[in-house]
Amino acid sequence: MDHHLAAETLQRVGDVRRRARSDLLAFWFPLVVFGCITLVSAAVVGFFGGEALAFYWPIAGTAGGVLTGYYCSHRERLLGLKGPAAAYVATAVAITIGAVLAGGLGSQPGGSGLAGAVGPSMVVAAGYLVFARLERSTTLAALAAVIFALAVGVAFSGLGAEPATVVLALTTGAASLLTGMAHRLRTGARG
Amino acid sequence: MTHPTNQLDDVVHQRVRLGLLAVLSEARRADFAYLRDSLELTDGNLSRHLQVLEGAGYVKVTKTFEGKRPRTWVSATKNGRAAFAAEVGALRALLDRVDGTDSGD
Repeated sequence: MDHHLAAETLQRVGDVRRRARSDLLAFWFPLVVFGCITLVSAAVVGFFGGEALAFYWPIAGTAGGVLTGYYCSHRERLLGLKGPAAAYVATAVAITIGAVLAGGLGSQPGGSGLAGAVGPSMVVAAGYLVFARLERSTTLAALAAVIFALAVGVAFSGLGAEPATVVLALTTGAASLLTGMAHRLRTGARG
Repeated sequence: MTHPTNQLDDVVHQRVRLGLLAVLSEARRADFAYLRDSLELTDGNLSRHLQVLEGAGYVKVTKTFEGKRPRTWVSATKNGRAAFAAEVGALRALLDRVDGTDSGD
């Protein structure tokens, strides 16, 4: 086989794979949904106190997960292309368990409670990094870095547990929401 | 050492079938219309190539109904993914070999 033909074939295979990957990209939706849920959690803390999050997140998080699952499944059916879902579901479950554990362990009696506010954000940042790897997305990797930096910044800010939770909820929620909306605008109807 | 061209699989090496496996390597499954449109094929052409791949055990074709509408889904089997990876590896090896020869001149 001629090496020019081999190079051309590899180029074409790469193009086809990139197009399929690009068609599957729809991470704007979970970013918008969980961005909104995170922003609302700040209001929940403001009205009902930090303890209310123990009830808020299981309900809102599950609803967000179900909504995202429904959207992805509906979109894939319309598109005619189904992505590898198992790794995404496993990552989402790991983030949920990790964030709940980090929040619970960080809020043990005797502690400042700050770890309970910062820990879940760090877990979410790590989860987004895994999603970025799965999607081969620099946008998601950048968002993970921003969330991690925000969590570290708040950890050293000297804020109390509840203000730290509110600040992190507002900043990470807004970052997710804006990233999701920007990605949706960039990808247009395909997203 | 075997020349890389000897490692090319005739079933996979064909342009359209390589394209089909390239799409299916990125997805859990794709439907007939998506494959046809993304690779700019006719229905008949796509069917023929899918039959070849299915006969070699490289893809699995599943027919479902959504309401009253029939739908054909195609997924790559484990052997199909391995054959695609081997094909891409053989093509890369061929290029590396040529590059190595060029740089030695």
